Amino acid sequence: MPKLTVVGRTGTAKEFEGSPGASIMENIRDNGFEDLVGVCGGNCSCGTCHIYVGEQFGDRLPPISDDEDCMLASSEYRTPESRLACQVEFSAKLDGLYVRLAPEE
Amino acid sequence: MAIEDRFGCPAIVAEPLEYFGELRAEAPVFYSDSLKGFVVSRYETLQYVVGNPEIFSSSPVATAMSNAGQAKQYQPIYEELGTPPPLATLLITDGAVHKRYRGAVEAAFSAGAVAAMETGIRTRADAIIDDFIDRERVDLLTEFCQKLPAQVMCDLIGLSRDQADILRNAATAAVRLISSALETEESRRELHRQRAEMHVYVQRLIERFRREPIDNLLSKLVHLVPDDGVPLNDAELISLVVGLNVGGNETTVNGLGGMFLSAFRTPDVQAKLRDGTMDPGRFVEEALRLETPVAAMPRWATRDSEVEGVSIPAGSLVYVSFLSANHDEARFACPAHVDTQRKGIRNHAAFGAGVHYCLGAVLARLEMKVALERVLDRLAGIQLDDTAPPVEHHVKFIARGIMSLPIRFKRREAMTTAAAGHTG
Repeated sequence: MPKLTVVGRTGTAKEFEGSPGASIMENIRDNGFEDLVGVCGGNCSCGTCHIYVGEQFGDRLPPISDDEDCMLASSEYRTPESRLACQVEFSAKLDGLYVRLAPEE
Repeated sequence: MAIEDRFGCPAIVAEPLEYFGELRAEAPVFYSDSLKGFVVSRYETLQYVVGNPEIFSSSPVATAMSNAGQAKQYQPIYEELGTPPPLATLLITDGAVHKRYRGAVEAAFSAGAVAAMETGIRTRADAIIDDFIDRERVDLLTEFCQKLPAQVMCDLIGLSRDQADILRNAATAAVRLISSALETEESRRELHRQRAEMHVYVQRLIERFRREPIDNLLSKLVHLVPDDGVPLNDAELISLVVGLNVGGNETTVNGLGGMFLSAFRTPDVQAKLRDGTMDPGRFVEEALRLETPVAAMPRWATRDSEVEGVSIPAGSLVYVSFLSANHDEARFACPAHVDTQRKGIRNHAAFGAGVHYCLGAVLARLEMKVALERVLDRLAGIQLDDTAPPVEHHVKFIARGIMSLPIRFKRREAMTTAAAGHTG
């Protein structure tokens, strides 16, 4: 099973086996990170699943859609590494992915 | 001591926050005989209920008496007018059925699509303000908050602006029918009649757009082939539009009214919004949390379960109170106060959660932000009008909204920039 490492808002890192086919948001929430709210359930409508993904993984991720771009534009914590975790599906090709939760808005 | 059921009391339904505080503390899952259902009032418990649709479905079970929106005995009201009766589409469906409808309309309300509407909304907001800007006193609810969302909705479905009242009445009727246990049989019939009137108008539009497609949401839906390959029929299209209209009209009107009330009832909030020390986008989130336009929604128990130590039998109606959850002290410190520095400011439940998260959330946020910007930019020294009757909330369990918002103000263009800065 491919693995991913998530760094929570307190700075604690956790590595776990991810579920391919589920979004990164679902993977994070299902593995004990309750501070990632994802209140809209993956509809790209709330911006509460904001994460940072290391640049080294950029070419393995799907491109940012216009909708995701618009949602991220409303965040004061946006950086070039910003993504919405609900918009990225986890898969074997993302094995070893390393993400940090962005600060809460 | 057992908590008394006070949902049958209109004054409590209109101003329920104190009562909800008692329920959160003493009976977070409470059976109300008045509502004929359970009321879930804590934030965490609400998240559990809405996060488990296999136990608490949005699709009414056959035994639920509250299903007046679709009840067969009201169908003749629609048949008399030659229009299809209501059909469960977005709000009270789950699974594949919900996906069919949500998928059909999702793109029209996506962040990208909504961003393209900003200029049009700003132009409309300014034109509405033009109509009252010289009066110095206005009921901001009727003269602005009711007009802007209705015009945006008219544009989306192709009605002319003078037909906006039909949309507003139908939205109010649809909302009241959701908590129909609180209505009399006579009022239920009247609400269905109001809803049926909108069905007739929408049906005529569908027929027109079928012959002559144009560039609006309804026309696109008429010609859309959903992912399952089956085009939407008239009954589906009508009920979809009625559902969208509830969001686009009733709840957005309530959202705007609640936002302006939150901005003007405490003098320092308006001053901070004007001098830039309070971020308008973050204020919109707090206003949504404080006033929570969609105050509650129903779920139906698909099987016996136990929540917070309370047994909920299969078939029960369960109301999740977003309003109460948004005032839960365990989640939001000092919940009655506007705090734009609050962490997790978007984590409120004003738009629901999960698969039924409000389809129009991005549009609602945009309308609220643009409305706030235009009103503050063009009106100075806004105060609640103390010569008018006090602002009161509607007696509706499902929707929270104010009945009027009388304000006094000065036209800002007439003032010097320096003077305007001091009148906040």
